[in-house]
Formats: sequence, C-alpha cells, structure tokens
Amino acid sequence: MTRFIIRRLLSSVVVILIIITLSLWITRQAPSNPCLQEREANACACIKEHALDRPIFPVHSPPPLTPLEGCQYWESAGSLVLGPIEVLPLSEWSETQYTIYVATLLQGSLGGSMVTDRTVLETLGAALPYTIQLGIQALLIALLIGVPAGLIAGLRQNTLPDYGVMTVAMVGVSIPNFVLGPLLIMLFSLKLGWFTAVGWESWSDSVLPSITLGLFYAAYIARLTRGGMLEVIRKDYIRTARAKGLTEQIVVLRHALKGALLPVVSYLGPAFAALLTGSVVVEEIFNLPGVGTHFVRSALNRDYNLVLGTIILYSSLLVVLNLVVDILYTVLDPRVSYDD
Amino acid sequence: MVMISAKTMGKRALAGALVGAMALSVWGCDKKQPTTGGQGQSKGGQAEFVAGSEADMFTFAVAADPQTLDPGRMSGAPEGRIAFNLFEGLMMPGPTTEELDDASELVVPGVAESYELSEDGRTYTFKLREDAKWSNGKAVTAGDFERSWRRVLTPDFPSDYQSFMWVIQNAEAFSKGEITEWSEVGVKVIDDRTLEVTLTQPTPYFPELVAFYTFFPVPMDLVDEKGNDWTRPENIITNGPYELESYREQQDLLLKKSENYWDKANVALDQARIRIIQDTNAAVNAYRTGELHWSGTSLPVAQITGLLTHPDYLQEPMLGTYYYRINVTDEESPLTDNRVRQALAMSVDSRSLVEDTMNNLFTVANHFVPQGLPGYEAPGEGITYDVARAKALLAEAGYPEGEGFPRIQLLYNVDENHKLIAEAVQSMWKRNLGIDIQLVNKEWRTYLQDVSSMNYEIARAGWIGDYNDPMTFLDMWETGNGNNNTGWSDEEYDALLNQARAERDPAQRLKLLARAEAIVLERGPVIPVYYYTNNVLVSRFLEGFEPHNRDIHLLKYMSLPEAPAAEATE
Repeated sequence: MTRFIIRRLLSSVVVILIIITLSLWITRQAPSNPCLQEREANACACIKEHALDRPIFPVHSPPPLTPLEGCQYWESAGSLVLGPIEVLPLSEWSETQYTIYVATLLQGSLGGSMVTDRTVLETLGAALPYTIQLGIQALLIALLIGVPAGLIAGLRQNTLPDYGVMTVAMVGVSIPNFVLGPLLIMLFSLKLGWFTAVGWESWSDSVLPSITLGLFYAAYIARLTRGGMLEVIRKDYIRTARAKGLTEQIVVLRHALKGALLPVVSYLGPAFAALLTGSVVVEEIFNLPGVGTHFVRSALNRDYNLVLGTIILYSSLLVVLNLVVDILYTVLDPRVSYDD
Repeated sequence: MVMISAKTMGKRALAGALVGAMALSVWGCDKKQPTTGGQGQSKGGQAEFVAGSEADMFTFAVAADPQTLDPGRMSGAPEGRIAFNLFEGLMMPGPTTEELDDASELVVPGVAESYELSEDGRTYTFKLREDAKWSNGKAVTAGDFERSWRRVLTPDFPSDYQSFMWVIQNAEAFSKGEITEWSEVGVKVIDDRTLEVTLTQPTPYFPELVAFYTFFPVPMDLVDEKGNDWTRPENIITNGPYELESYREQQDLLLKKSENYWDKANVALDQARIRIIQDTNAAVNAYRTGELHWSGTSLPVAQITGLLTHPDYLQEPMLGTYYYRINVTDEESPLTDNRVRQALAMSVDSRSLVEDTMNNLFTVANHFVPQGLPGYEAPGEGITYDVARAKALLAEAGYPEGEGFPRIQLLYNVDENHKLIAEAVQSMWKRNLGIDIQLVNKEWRTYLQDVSSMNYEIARAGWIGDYNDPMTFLDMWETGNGNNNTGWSDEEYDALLNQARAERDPAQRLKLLARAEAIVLERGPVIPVYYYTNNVLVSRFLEGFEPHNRDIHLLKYMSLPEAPAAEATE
C-alpha cells in the first residue's frame, strides 16, 4: 500500500508538471495580454515588468513578434503556425517565460499576480478556506439528503416513496444552480430577511450558497445510492444474511449498506473536486470570496500567473482526492488491492 | 478614467436577469404601506428596506478588488475611489461639478492651501499648509511631492497615467529617457512649503490634474524601503482624511479617520467599510437587504426599471460619451469615404436608442464632448437624425439605397447593454439606408486587442473624461494619439488643437476647441450614441453626497445623521 501511494504521488508530480507546461503555453496563446488597457497605457513598462517580452520556451517555433511602440512582446498568431524550430543559446535558457516561472515554483512561490500587487499564494490562500468550507458543506448536504433518500427509494422499489424521491431527485438534478441561487436569495434574503444576500461574514451566510451548490449532488447521490442498493440487495451474501435470521435492520445497515455505498464513494472524489472547481457560479451569485471567482476573472484578465496558480491548485486537489478515494476503496471493498 | 466595462460571462448575465426579473416581480409592485420596524420589514410581506440598516458603519461598494493602493501606479475606478479618501493631493476634487460657472471651482485646496499662477499662465507656485501630515505624524513637504512625481516619471515605471504629467516642462522627455537630468524638469522645491511647477504651455485644467491620484504624494522613504509592499495594510502610510485599517481580498477594506489629518474636525464619518461586490446584481441585493448606504457602482439596466421611483435612486450626469469608432485605414472600405461615415451617423436615431432601448437611463448625444463643461459652447447642432440627408449622402458616395455596399462588421464587447444598442443600430441602418451589417461580439480583452491593433471596421467605444475640459475628449483624435485607434488624421484639426494649447485667453481657447470638435463631427471617425450617466442607489439620509460628473465622491464631505428608524418608502 505504501509503495502504491509513493508511486502514485511520483506520477502525480509528473502529471502536474505536464499540466503546468501545457497551461503556460495555452495562456500565452489566448489573444491579448495582461498589460493591455482600454485607454493608452504604459504597456511597455508592464510587459517588461512581467518578462512578457521574452520567448516562452527555450525551444520555439518563432511566433510573430508584435512590436509595440518601444518594446516588443510575443503575441500568438491566433492560429497554430509551425515555422522553423529555433533553439535559444544555452545562455538565454534561464530567460524564457517558462524557465522563469518554473524557477519561481522551485522557490516555493507561485509568483506575483500580473494585475494586482498581491502574490498568487496570498490571493489563493485567502480564498481557498472559503471554497473548501463551501465544498464540504455542500457535500455534507448532498450526503445527508442523498443517501437516506436513495436508501428509502432503493428499499421500497416501485412504491410511492420511491417514485416521490426519484421525482424530486430528477427535479434537483435539472435545476441549474444559477436559477436556484437567485430563487433562494429572493425568498430567504429579500422576502423573509433570514439570510444576507451577499458576502460571507458569518457561518449563516454560507447556508444558502451551500444548499445551492449541494442540491444537485444530493439528487445525484440519491440516484447512485438507490442503484447501488438495488444491486446489492439481490446478492447472495445478503440472502445468506437473511437466511441466518438477522433482522432487516442489521441486514441493511451492516451488510447491504457498505456495498450499496461503493458507487457513492467512488463518486465522492470527483464530486468533491467538482464542488471545489464548480463553485464559480455560486460564488459569483452570492459574491463569495472564493477561488472560483479568481479562476474566471484571472482568465478574463489574462493574469497568467493567477490562472496557472489556480490550475496548479485545482489539479493538485484532484490528484489528492482521487488518491484518497482509491485508498478508501480498499477499506470498503476487500476485493480491491493495490499490492503487487 | 478607464471605462469599467462589464466583463461578464453569459451565466452572470443570465443570473442577473433572473434575479432582476424575480426581484421585480416580488418587490416592484405597489408598496405604499408604512414600515413598522427598524429592519424595514413590513407586515404585508413586502420587504421594504432602509439603506444601511444592517450595516454597523457607513458602507458602500466598489466593483472590484483594488489592483493596487499605490496612487502612482493605479488606473481604475475602484482604486481611485479608495485613493481619494486615503491620500490627498495639492488640490482635491470639490463635492460637485454641477452649476459651476468657472472651472477653477472644480477643485478645493488640499495639501496646498493656495497657489499662484504666473502672468504667462505657465508657472504654478503651490503654498503647502503647515499642518498637513502623514498618518505617522510627519509633515507633508514640497519634497514629498517632488520625489513622488519623479518616481512616476521614471522611465519604465509602470504608471498608466504618467502621460498626465507631460504637461509639465520636460516631463515627457524625462519619462522617455530622452533627458536624464531631473533638474531640467519643471518641478522645483523652493522650500518645505513651496512647490513651483512650470508647464510647457498654459494648461487651464492643471489644478484639476493635480487633484488626480497620479499626482498624489506617496511616502517615498517607505516606498524605497519596501518596494511594492509599502501598500500593505501593516505598512501603508497615507496623508488623507482616512487611514487603511484592514483589507480582506474579495471582501472589504476598512477605513478609519486619521488622527493626523489637518482638517479632521470637519470629517464627520469616523469610519467606513468598502465592500467589494463584483456583480452589480449582487450589489443591488446587498443594498436592498440594508447592507449598503451607497451602491457605489452604476446599476444594471435589468434591475433599474423597478428602482426609478425609489427615493434612494439617483441619476448623476457623467462626463462620458458612448460612441462608435470607425476604422478609416482600409483603402478598400467605403468607411474611408466621409460621406458614408456621415450617412451612418445621421441615420442613427439616438433619441430612440436612449428612450426605447435604454429606458432613459442615459442622455442623447449629438456631440462628442458632453454638455456642462464650464464656459464651453458646443459647436452648432452636432450630428442630428436626418434620414433623407443620410440617404442622399450615401447615394452620392455611390451606394444608392445601400446597393453594392459591402457587409461591414460592428464589433462590441460582450455585455447586455452593448448588445441591445448594437442590434438597434443594425436595424436602423438596415431600415434607413438598406445596409446590412454583421454584429461581432468578443470578450473584453480580445475586443481591446482588436481595437488597439485596428482589427475592426466599426467598434463600440466609451470615453470618460479625465478632467473637466474639452481637451480630454479632443486630443485623442490627434494624429498618432495612442487613444485614436482609428487611423483618422486631419491637419486642420491638429493645428487647431495646437493653437488652443498656446492660447492664453481661456474664452478664445474654448472657441478654438469648439471648432476642432466641429471638425471631428463633420469628418471624423465618430458616431456619438449617448452621454453616460451614473445610476446609483444612495441613502437619502446621507448628507453631502452631490452629483459629480467624474463620479468622485469624497467621504470627507459626507455625513450620516441617524436615519429615522421607521421610514415609509414610497
């Protein structure tokens, strides 16, 4: 198991490095750059400040240089043109955008934002706790609603409770959060005045966003649980348990539940990752200080370093969560083993 | 001033429209019941609100995190709103721009208690007040200004508004590295309390320029010591009415009254909270739940209809113009023919655009320079809606009834307002001239790239004046100006501007500028659409909040007497 974890971690580092390399390249391919303003501004100083006048990689197929009064920057052609491949002399290798960025990473920093005065680490560090708390709360809501609902539906197949729960779940999956959020605001903030409409000052401010985010997953988990239950309840070992004369309660809770929850568990990793990365819209609607808002805005602002920082954060979370799920799997399902 | 354009996603727009529509359905109906509690809750289930009833101090919103708190490097509206309260220049913007007879009334003394202007209109001698202090208690001296301005003018210093200082003698040459001797630049420290500034030419709006944040002093010793970290809450030293107490990214900034401010006796609000609310719909929601005293940003059109009759709703005129710019560099394009440009401009019914498309939120523009600049008389009628004349011009140019006219593109950045306007203009041109145009929308940064590299035919644009003088709207059309981006160039026009710059008689100078504006309207690359207004919600109990056409509202002018606990909203 330990060897498996170490192997996985090592491969994760490689994966993340590939992601960084690709992302850095892709950010630079998007039209425009972080220094462009609506009115004539001091773009040259900004470009030099962020080394955007340097080649992206030591090895490059020369993109056209767009001269900008008094300074130059690398502007993508807008289409992928592969010209003759050039390799920079070794002495200039340390001066490319990529090597500068990787060197920054090796120093344990994510660099400075290209738009604001703050470092990427600061910005994301301030935002992450909110996004994680929102994600955990949404996941708890999803589990607390989804699992019992799924169990009821699964154990009472084709009865009124089953149809009722599944209809509600269907509706829950179908309502997008950008509809649900405003609905909740309208009802609970503007009309009843129970919660604030924007911001996150106290725990109560996180209630509506968590519900908005979690409800879709609750519905999905209900369907997964129901499916898992239906599958397990017909299995031989359950019949054996019943034949031993165990009460229905013990059969369900001690024997069937574990198996029924397997699909839910394997969904938890991706679900939590999706909650963390998918809170963008909810954060926007409720004006929450989370990572999602930064992710979208940094892309819109071409704040390359913040975009990359967010990508690194998200991909690390995904890698770690998937690893956790795989380990949990061995706990839940004795048939799974990662040892050679 | 940078136009804040909505850089929104489709989702946001949709969400906003939904909130707006729902909110209106709940709240935008008859609501003539007196409220009973201080919470602004009425028994009828109709949520009423009293602005700021849930806030524990004076609170307003800005639309984004400040990119920096360094006045020398900032260039955005949220940053400016903060800087005007944390720092103080030689002069400061006055409380209002309305009903002024003279441009000199736009600013009031700040760190400088007075200034003298030389006979030739080129040398300003600022007398600094004795009791102007930094928040650490040290005196603000003429040397602080000189060092701060020199920093902004340093070659490669990333200041977007460095060019504002170029009216100072040799400042441009110094910032471009053409001269290296600072002593040749027209900024002289006579003594700790006297600063002498020599300009290249008489610049009547210079006092308003020094009231702009790029000209504010920064604590240079601290800047030298800490670099860009000097603006962190734990480091920052300021010289304005307020100090920065804390800053939480994406959440808020807290300001508290500075004990060392020379005019602290007249600062009524002891503290203020600046909430960062990026989405305008969220800002309206926050206002309606009593968390804000002032929405701070202009409101979304989708929501505003239900708020037009609200006592807290305020429309202030803005010194800004929404217009279409025309690229005249493509020899193949009919747009190089001025008759075609005139025909396009005359067939846009801006009255209908403002009244029908924009719910009367803005004002009709027939000129490029907005109304209300002290002493400035706009040239003639400007561009008026005249379909017959437009048709005749188009036929003259060789496209009778639009025959043979190529399909040109109209570029705008993604935003609901821009879309509505563009669609309306598209149908006007089709109906009036028989011309088909194609609408192209792009996300903000790509749109900027296309405009600055002139990769467009007609593009939506907005310009907010930087100071109350026609020059801020006219110098952009000079040949080679970095804000021109149309390729338009006119010798007579350039000559008029240069004449105006050298003109010492203010009235004569404005006449020359009016003649220049007439040229832009007659043969320029511009189709004016509307003049901006600022549509905000501001507590009716807030005193000292007056209309300002550059949307500059200093907290030091404001006070908030206790709001009546129960106030029936109409």
